[in-house]
Amino acid sequence: MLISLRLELLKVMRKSRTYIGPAALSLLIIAMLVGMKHGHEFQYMRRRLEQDFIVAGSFVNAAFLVRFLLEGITYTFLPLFACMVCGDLIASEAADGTLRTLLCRPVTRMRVAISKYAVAIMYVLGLTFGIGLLAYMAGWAYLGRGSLVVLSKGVWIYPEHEAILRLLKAYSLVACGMVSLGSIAFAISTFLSNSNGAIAAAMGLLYGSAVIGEIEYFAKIKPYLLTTQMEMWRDFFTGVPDAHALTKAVAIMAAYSVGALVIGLVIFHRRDVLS
Amino acid sequence: MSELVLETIGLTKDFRRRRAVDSLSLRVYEGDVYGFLGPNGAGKSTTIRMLTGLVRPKSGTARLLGWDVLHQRVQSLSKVGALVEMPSFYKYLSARDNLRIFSRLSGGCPDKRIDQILDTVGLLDRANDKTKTYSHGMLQRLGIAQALLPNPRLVILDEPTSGLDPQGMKDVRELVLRLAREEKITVFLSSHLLHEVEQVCNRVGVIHRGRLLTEGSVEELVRHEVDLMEFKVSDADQAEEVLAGLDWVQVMSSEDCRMTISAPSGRVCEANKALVQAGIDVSAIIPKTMNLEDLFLKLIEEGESAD
Repeated sequence: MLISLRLELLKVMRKSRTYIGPAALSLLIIAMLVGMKHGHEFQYMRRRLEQDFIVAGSFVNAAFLVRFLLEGITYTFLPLFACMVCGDLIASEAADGTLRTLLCRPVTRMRVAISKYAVAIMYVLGLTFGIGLLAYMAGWAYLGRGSLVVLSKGVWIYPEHEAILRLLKAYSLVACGMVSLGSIAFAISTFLSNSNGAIAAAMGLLYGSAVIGEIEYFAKIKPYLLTTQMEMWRDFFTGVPDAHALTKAVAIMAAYSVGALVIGLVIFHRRDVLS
Repeated sequence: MSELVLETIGLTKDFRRRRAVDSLSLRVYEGDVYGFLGPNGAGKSTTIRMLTGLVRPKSGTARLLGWDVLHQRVQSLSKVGALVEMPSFYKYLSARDNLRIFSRLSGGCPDKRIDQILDTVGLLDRANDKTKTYSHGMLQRLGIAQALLPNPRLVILDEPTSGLDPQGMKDVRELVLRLAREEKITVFLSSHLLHEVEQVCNRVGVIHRGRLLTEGSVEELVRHEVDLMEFKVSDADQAEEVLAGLDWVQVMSSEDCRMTISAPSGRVCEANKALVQAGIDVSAIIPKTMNLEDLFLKLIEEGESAD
């Protein structure tokens, strides 16, 4: 199993597609840094805040950047790049024909699929936490450190050490959501021979879920939608989060991940390789 | 009797309503270079996919080296190398890295052996180049190289000369013969090229519309109980009409003043008599040896008329 895992890692590391996500998100961080330092919006926010509070130092700092980044990427870049890698792992090999060559070797399909899935999850976790860490380091270097000020459902101010802990928890919850979405993309890629199809289908499910969650008719299923649970990360920045709701969110996302993995494995085990 | 290294019993596969392979039973013995012959769409690749576990049969069994492919996949493929249809590799990796990856899935093999295999297929000097820079012929040779990685007892090659230029085809044929003679590897080779099978294989199975039409040694099959005779006649069209009335004669080809017929050797004189009585001049009767191509066409024709 370790050999298969190493080989899958090697393949992912050598693919240029793997680096599109980190590169694009790094550029986004740079753009955000520049925007926060010199943009009118943030200067306006600062002036508004100074009308009601005495602000010591700058609230636009590393912690603010890391939280703000999460706001911008949770439904856009992060799921896209997670799906790009997870949806590509099997579908692109099927399209290129390498899956055929791979499965002619004395290796079980289960071993191939699980090692690919493990690499996909490693990538998703690495991308989510890596980009958070990068944002914090860059923010620290360019904007400085300090307390986290959150303007949501009131004004919340967290000392730096508490802010880091809350950011870590929020990123962990988002990572859970990305693992679920990555698992769905992986499951779809097991029966498609087109990685773009798998990526589009997984992203479609994500946005479809977000839309359904806004329709009154589907109110009963809203608590079980992935997007509803992914939104829970915001609760870490508005007081004390509800432990029961968080546990439920993690459990629902874990169910999505396990369900998608099982479906993917069954399909992959039974599928005819015709490409 | 040599050991049975590949066996299928009643192998059947449907794709929706179309039957791709129909109750196929094959036997390949150790040391054979077995030609799996059939026109395009006959079911050769589907059979090979079932043999390598890529496709699940609807019914029937496939065994490699005594192991059931469906239920003992790892054991059955452990000493089998396969090249199924077009060779496919990771384009962003070098040939050597590709072989390293595939070898590790077969228990691994030292770099020295990888170099030796690359040398065997004539790719050692390009071993570090990414495979996206390879020509089709080079990929085909690399495909054979990956099939040789597990030090196989059986190599399954699906149309290995497909898309190659004449020199490339010759190289692959020579390589196959070398593997069989020097390395004592059993080869199962599918092809729609009759002369290729005739040149390389000692045993052959002919498949058409998913069904096995015949199986045996190439010599046995071409030494058929019927003989082929070429008649030089004054009017081939009229001669064909006359011979159509004899149910034991089969006209294989007819062109200008030449026609080739298949008939029991003892009754050729009767055919000649019928032609002369019909006023057709027969200037020569030339015995012809039936080659695999003639046999193949005859079998296909028989198979179609049986449908």
